[in-house]
Amino acid sequence: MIGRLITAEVAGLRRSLVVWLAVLLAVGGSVVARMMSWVTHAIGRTELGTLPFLRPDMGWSDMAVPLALLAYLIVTSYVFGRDFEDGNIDLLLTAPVRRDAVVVARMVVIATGVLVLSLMGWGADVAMRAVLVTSSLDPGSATSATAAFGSAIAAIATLPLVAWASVRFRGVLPALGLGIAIEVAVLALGGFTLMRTLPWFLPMSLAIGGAALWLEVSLSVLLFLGGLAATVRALRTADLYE
Amino acid sequence: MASSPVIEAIRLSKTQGRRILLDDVSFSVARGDLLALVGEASSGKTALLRALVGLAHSDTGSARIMGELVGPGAYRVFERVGFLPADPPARRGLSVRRDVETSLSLAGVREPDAARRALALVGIEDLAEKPAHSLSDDSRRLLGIARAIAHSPELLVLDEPTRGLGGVERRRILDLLRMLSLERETTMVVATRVADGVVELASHVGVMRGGGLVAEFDREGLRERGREHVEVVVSDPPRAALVLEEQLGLTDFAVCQEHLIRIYVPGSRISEINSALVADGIEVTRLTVNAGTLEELLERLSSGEAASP
Repeated sequence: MIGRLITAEVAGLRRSLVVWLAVLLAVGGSVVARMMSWVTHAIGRTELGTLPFLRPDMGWSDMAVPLALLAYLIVTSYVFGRDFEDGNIDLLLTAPVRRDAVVVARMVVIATGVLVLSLMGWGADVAMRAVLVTSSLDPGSATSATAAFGSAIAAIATLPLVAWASVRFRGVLPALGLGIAIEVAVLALGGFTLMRTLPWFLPMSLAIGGAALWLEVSLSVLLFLGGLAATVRALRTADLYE
Repeated sequence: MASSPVIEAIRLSKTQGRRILLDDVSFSVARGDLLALVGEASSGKTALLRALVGLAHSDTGSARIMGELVGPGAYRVFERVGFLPADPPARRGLSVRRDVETSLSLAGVREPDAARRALALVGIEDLAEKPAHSLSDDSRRLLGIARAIAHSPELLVLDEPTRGLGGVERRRILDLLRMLSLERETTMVVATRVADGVVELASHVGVMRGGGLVAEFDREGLRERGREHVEVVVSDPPRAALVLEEQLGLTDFAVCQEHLIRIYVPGSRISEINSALVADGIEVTRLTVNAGTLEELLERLSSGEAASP
């Protein structure tokens, strides 16, 4: 059943513009982040001063990760929310499939998508570094790969909460809006320092902040399972009378 | 209706704020029967169908399909059910054929020609490779019907299958429903407008008003009710019945409600009936002639202009 659902999901996403937007954000974000990182390091090194939005100590992950997170938010809210907007939820919920299987199949698609996006972002960064020859200024490709995949895996743990918001509020925009609002707010107010205090980004923040592995894994698993359970419950109790 | 129903509603009620969506609705439909639910807009037809297939949750009451209580746990029963929503969606990014094939795949059907066959039955096989989301509203409705029938379900729950269709398409869908009912003994619950033609195929007709099922007829009862007759509301029905029988020699009448008598005579006898009743001291509070067609009768019942049986 899950295989059938995954096939149906992939068929629906294959030609979606939203998927290409997410690719653009992950790859383009990685490229832009590497360029910005190169610029800030150049400014810091030559003591030319700093621009208001740039710090000499900004690294690639400081810029690439928020953009990648945005891409993950978009994909997740689209996968779970679009059916409510175009009416296809009627077809899904009157098909002979379990509703928890629907959630699991979609999370498998999203998790795969997130890993592929992070791989693409990392690949773009490796290519950019080769072009800019910045190896003396930035961490090597192994470090950036660890950051990319670590953030991706940690981000996956938070995505069921986005899925829950899409189902609970029946659409793409409420969940996307909620995710973006939180992301923008924490970045504007305090960057990663504040972000670490918010449950939404907790696993990813812990991964970046280097918290104890057991704590990071435990919280990630708890958040993931809690989000999944909440999403399944929201889908099972969805009351679509019109 | 007969026992062992394929689908049944048991005292379904639902409110939204102060609005009554469903008001204690009960009915059952036996195998091979077609129940046409007629009613004006916002009469509760769509809410009822959505509660029947588990998309909406009733506040009280329950629905059963083939004996199974409808709910998230009863998903397997949908292998035998086809559903057409009021506004049929189309899957973005898929062709019309792939859209139907996706529904078939979710239903576990692996017949390679099933999608094409369903599209041919509704007359849109020439649109098979077009993007599903680019279809016009009427073609999208036909696609929705194709999806609902593609896996040869035993039960079809259809919300206005002929709404907005042109003459040829409408006729084709009515013929299709007739074929499914007669040849495959498919059980159907169809929400429809009176003039859309489904009533002519129905073995039973339910009239919805204000969220309630205010009247239900079988084919014979509907025909009977559609005959020309005079309806009279009187203060003393037993005495009125005596007057009708003894003074006017009428025998073809029925006391339908507490004070309502339906007299199957030509409308030209209305003043004669009124005079006889009044002369006998019986208070007549309403006197109407029903000389309309079946459609008009259902329209009047739907709008509340005519009394329920």
